[in-house]
Amino acid sequence: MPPSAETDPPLLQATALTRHFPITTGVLWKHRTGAVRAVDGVDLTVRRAETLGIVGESGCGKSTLASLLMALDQPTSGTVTIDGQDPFSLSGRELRTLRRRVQMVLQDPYTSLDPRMTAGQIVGEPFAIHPDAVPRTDRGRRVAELLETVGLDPTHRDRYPHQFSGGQRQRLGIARALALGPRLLLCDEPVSALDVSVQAQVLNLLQDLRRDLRLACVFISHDLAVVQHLCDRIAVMYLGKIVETGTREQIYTTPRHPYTRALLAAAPVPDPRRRAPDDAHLLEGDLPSPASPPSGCRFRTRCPRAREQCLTEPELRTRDGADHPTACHFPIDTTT
Amino acid sequence: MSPAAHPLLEVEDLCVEFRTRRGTIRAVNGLSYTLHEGETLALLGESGSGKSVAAQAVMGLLDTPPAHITRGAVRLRGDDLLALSPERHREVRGTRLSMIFQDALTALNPVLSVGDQLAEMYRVHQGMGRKAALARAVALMDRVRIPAASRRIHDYPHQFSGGMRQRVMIAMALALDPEVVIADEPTTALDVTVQAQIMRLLKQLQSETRMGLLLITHDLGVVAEAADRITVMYAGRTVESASADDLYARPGHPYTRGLLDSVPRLDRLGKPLVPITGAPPLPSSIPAGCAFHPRCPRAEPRCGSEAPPFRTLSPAGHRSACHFAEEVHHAPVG
Repeated sequence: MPPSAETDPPLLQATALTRHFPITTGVLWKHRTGAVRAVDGVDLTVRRAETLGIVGESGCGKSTLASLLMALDQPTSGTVTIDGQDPFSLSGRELRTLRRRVQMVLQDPYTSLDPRMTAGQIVGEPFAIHPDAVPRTDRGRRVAELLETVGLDPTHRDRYPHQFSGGQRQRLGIARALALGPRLLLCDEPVSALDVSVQAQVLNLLQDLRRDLRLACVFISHDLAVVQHLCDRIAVMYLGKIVETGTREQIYTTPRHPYTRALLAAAPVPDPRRRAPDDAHLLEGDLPSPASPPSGCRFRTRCPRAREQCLTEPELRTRDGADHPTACHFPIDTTT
Repeated sequence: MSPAAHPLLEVEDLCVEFRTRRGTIRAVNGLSYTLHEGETLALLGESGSGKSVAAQAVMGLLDTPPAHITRGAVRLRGDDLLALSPERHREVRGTRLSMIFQDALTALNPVLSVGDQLAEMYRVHQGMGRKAALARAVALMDRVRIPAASRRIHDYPHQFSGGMRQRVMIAMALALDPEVVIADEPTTALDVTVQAQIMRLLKQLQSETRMGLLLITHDLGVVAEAADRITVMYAGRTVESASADDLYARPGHPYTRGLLDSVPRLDRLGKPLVPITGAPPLPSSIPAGCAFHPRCPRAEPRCGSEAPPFRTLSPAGHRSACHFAEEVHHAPVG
């Protein structure tokens, strides 16, 4: 549960955020023939010490959204504010200062660490970029503390990434992200490359860090079960748009958008006694291309509830007074 | 159970090692399982457990050197596959035994149309003419529910979506009505909604053909949905085998129990995870005794020296390779 008062200004906010990638043809004289609408009008808020989950299937735009939120990529339109500041209007130096407050953990612990740097160098690198963050004489001690915080042995600081297992490498990535004392950690599929037995270790570590350091998190994943474990609130994305947001209980026990419900129904539960019946309704087809999304509601081509009205686009809005906005003309009635 | 004298596929005490300049890596150290007609057997294991190497050994896809099958037997309806010449093995592959791979984009030929690749199966194995073979290919694509098959047959693999490509792979595996299909992580690269479609398709096709399906995966959810029986692998060895219901309800090996406690579940919102400590061993340095003992909460000194034999836990064939199998089996599941 978010422990901070709701009146606090949000730590991270996105308003009407879009990112379109142009599609061009021609070799010498390129001209634009269309656009991939990877993120297409997203609003979201992350409050202090809160964990927001963003779930969606591949191609829904969740990783593009991540790079916009981290100011690694310029939005086509819309705004991002981090701690009340617009990162795209800042000078290089100001942006660097802002970056200390938001850090990222990447999916692949094999390619996101420099193979020629030792563990200590990797975790200490942020201090080289932000020299005033920690005095030079204290850096060694701070690196040892960070390694300990993520459950690594500080005496292993001279080892290279290939001498660590996948789970340990992901811990190194987390230690590096924590080096500058961020207030928000954005994790993009942080456990997807890990084995089941190791995945739980990293999930528990993230949960402890979040509590002990009062960190806010944005947790991006395709895995509904992983997201439910870590997040206070969850946003479900489909083809560049958020279709439903709510608390964990709202999304998992009373989903209102037909897409959310279909996602939940398709996720296998590790218990043979709870097998889905052979005739359970499954979503048909694949995700349409974000270069030519369906008109109106983007989910209508696969939606079992679609009717004529779905040719007009539904707004993300709240009904029945519950704080559980859903972008659907015919949301599933959860009161019965 | 089939009335035939021999079970469909029988793997007994299989050992595979890779001999490289930097030493010998024992990828599979004594794997045994039996697959019956119309049955789905899951081989469950994490990366490095040897599950894929074991499948390739059965398929005859390993290159020697560096791979050597040092011990064991693989019998298809009683015929010893390991004794076959590479040419004979190739005949068996495709006609009696076939495989579905994880990544259809790399497993399919990018410069041949899907129709040509499917038709090739009939032209090579059954000597059919081009036209007849293409007609069979269309029928096959219909069978795996690819819409507008007669039109899409001229498309190339990259023109299909991930889910449709996996259907093409399945079509290719089923082309010659094999008795056994080995599916190696068939849905790992797919989204959950597409995964559900593919798993349902496999189940439907299996009930039509009575094929034996060997499902190789790391995903406890997929296994629970699809498998009749499960063999759990750790560090190249079988550690437990049981019916799906028994394995999930009353695991008899600390590793299986640890896996079940460490997976986040949709039906248990916010329940704490109990991870297994440490990481799976590298195949080049497998611990002595029980390979799981350095990570095992139940381990005692003897676990580091004595490899545990299989203990039978139920008349239905629930077996576990742990010195304390009965105790683990009877402990309540959390």
